[in-house]
Amino acid sequence: MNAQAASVAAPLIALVGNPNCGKTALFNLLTGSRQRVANYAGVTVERKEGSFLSPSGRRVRLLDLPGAYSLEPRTPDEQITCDTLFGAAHLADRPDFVVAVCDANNLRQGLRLTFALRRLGCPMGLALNMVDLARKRGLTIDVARLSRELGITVVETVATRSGGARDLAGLLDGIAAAAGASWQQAIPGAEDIEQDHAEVRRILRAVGADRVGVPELTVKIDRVVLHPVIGPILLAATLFLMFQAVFAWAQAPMNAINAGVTMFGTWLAEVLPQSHLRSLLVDGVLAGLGSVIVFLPQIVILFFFILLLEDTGYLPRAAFMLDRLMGGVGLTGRSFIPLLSSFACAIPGIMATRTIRDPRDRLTTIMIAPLMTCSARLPVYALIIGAFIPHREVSGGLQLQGLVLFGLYVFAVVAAMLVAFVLKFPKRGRGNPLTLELPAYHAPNLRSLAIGLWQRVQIFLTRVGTIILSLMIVLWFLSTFPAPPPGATDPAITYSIAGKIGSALAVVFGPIGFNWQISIALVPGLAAREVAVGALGTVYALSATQADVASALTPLIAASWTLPTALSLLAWYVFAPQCLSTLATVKRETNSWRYPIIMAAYLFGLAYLASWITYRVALAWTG
Amino acid sequence: MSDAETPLRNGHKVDSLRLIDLPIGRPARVVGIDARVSPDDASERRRLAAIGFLPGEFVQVIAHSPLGRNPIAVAIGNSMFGLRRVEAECIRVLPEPA
Repeated sequence: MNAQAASVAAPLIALVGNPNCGKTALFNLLTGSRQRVANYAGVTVERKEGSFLSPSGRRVRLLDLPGAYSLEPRTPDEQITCDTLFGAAHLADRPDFVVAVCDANNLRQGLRLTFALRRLGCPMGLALNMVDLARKRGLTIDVARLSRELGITVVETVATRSGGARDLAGLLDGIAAAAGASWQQAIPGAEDIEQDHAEVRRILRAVGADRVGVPELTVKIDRVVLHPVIGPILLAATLFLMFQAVFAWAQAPMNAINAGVTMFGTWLAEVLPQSHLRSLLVDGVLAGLGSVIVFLPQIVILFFFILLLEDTGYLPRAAFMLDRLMGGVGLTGRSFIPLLSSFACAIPGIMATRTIRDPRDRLTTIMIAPLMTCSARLPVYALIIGAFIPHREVSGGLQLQGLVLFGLYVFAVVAAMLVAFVLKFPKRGRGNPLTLELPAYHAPNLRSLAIGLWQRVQIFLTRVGTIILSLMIVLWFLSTFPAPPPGATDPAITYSIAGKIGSALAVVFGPIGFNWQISIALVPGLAAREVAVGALGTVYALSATQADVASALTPLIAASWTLPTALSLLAWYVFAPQCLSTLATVKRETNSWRYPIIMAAYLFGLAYLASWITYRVALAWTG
Repeated sequence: MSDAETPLRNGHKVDSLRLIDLPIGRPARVVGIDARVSPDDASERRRLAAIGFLPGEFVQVIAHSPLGRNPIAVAIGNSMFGLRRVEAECIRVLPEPA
């Protein structure tokens, strides 16, 4: 085919539809991308472009947009969709053709938006998505009639099945071939949903989609899940189980990884001659990376639960149940989903605040998002808990370590709520609406669950292989040179640059119980939290006086830190903004340096205060 | 069940009640949205209309939160939404005849 013609003519097709109707799943299916999908409204909060070859070999550019209920934007993410359609963002990027994506199980809502789109005068077609699910529920929609009534082409799609978008690809093929579809004059007058209402209902009756209500099974499940008493208990139990599992299930694979790293280190130390290279590889790289990588199983387990909650549709229910609590500090349940995403990583969490309507609510949610315990903190918490909290059952199969971890998560949430309370004081907008969509439940898709987990593993391993690896090498150099003077008795590292920096920082951190090793580790830990664990691994490997340097970090710190120091470091990590990427994201999302600076200042302040109190109280307690 | 015309009894709206007062599980139809004292009324009405709160639409309360029914879970049309008390108080509904 003619490449030049393709680049000139490649038409831009936009997928537009209600939230959670499967636009991103269609986008992924057509373009082969792996954008995040889940069963709740507002997963996609930015415009994503991809491209694919149509059946006859024409290049088509495809645009995935955030979902919207109408073309009157209420939230920053809906604004993106409207700006694109109105050509307000970049006129050149105005789509040539719009595919209105409708959930076949909720054509009612989809048609309202379709009518609004038609008013815009855009050349369009309709993709009736999730027809498989609709059929399973006994709903057959007369597609030919729907197409006639609307005066546009209607195709059926099943975004979760390979080949499920064949008809849509065919439709877009025709568009690409014609390449002449143009925007018509928009129908004058503002969007008027009430005016369209009668027409929508008539069409629904005509095509056999006038059934009302939500699926019976969803209602039955929600009688239990949203029950005023059982619901909150179930929510607490779910979160609790999640953190228990992080410790209980991960033990065996963690032991295996530890053993593997130790064996490899011992072997490496034996085959390599005593040299700087051996030290770099064994003490710098292996001790550093090994101490981080061992937490992979725990991260996988945590994400397994998060993805499961996202995929089934439970997540918005949790937000619903916590709305009252959030209302108490002046927020709404809408803030819950960005905050829960922040348990994985604050960056997507902060981006997800685009679904929040009230600007002040959004800013408050951004400011407290870094307080949610992100997965990068898990290695730090797990290391300290593993070293200082005895591995034993409390009662009824409950593990003390899991309990402490759960407590840390709860503590962070309580702290976040207190900060939100202060930021939202006086409580303006107590009467803010919620309007949170509660999607129909569906069984988790094991394939997408596996892909999601694999993506997390890749992200983690990439971080280990790039940022953590390079920081470990830099740290090894700083910790090795200059060499100690002849006849020195202390570990060599104390004479190095890193040792000097550590002792200087220890003056600042001494009052909260941090020794010079911790102080050194905190510096590279600014780039990414889990780096601190790797840095501790390297620092301790280099300060070890005995030969067996490759031994695991946990027993080392258990022997050399006091309990108050360990608790103080935990408190530090609850608050400290040890992540430059988060601050950069805040800068981007708020379009100002003001908020990242305020955020860093208040979090460091709180971290120091919390650690100081923890350390002093623990010292007094342990005598 | 399927779409029907708004079941106005003898053309009166007297039997309508606020969505917040509709018992759980009782099928009803939307009558309209009450004006509240707020400069945002028209915009607020369009917002609720966009998610389905339009005259004659099927509505059913699925769940109440403990303490003060705030928020409540409501099936509207073929969707389900969590609404705060302030939102559910200004939506008027008419229960289907039993």
